[in-house]
Amino acid sequence: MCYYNGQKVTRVEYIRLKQLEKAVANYDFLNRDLQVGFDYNMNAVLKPISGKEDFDIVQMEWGFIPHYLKTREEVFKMRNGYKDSSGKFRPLIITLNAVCEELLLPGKIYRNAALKRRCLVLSTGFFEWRHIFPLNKKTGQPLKTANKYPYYITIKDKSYFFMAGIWQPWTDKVTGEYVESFAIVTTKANKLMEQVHNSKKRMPTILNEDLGYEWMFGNVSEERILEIAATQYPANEMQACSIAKDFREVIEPTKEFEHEDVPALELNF
Amino acid sequence: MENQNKFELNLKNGKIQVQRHSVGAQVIFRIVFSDNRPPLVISRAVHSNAYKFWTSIPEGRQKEAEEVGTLISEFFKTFE
Repeated sequence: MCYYNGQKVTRVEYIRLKQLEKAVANYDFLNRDLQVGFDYNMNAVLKPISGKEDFDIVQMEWGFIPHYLKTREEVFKMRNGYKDSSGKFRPLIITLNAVCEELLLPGKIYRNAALKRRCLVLSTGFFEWRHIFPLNKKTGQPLKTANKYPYYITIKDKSYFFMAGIWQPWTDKVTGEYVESFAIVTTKANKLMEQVHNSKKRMPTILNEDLGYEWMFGNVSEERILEIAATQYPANEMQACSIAKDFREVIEPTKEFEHEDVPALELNF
Repeated sequence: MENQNKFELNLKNGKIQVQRHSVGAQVIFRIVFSDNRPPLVISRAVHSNAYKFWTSIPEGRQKEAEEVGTLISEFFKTFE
């Protein structure tokens, strides 16, 4: 239990009120349905306050910036790919998501953050693409190139929920710019998500209230960190609806849209 | 028809202006006082014993939140 303004409230209610505080203070902060990862936007993150079982809600940049990058220019190069001094192309490195199975591997850029800087990412829902391979009209065999259909995934009866995250402080060595960036931890897809995100069969690690608190505040072993990071939110508590392909440009990106020739999801979990 | 998103109410020290906003699908009320007090933002919250109460956003002005919140509740009851 927590107290807000001296009134006894549940943890969930406390989080809601703290979230509302931030939304009021910075009006356009949470009042958005769509966060597109590749825009490297600022997102709402619950960040533990050091030494207390309490948190602050802050804005962080989605896209974990490794400590070894010295300038924004180097960050840009990492995110977009570049030619090195010998003319060899170095492909981009995407740090939006941290794969739970690799979180604590020695030498991984996420290891230190997973041990020391765990956070929760607030979400009202997220987007994934379902790949459908159309059949060749002559042979009846699936074509090599899939048609892709976007889905919006939410948690039933919850207006928002928490994803496990890890964060990193970073300072541009030239300009002095300070930024906190984060990655969302991902796990193996559950029965719903393996149909939706059927190309990679992964999903964000969504945590319930208790696991969320343990993730942020718990004095947990490496084994327990990996256990929580691998949490699969129950498929029967999630829902997915197909949305328009141009959802990123429309006013209501989460509005349901039925595509022809797309088989319904199987919901017998 | 009276505007239920922006209205005036009488508090004992004078009139207050109330504006209703939606923030992230949640409703808040912003109150502007006729005296020199800073504006107040309030919202309904749920006590751990399941009853609802008015609270200030951010914390710190609970008494004012309850006083003004009660007036807002009474105002809306007139439309029932």
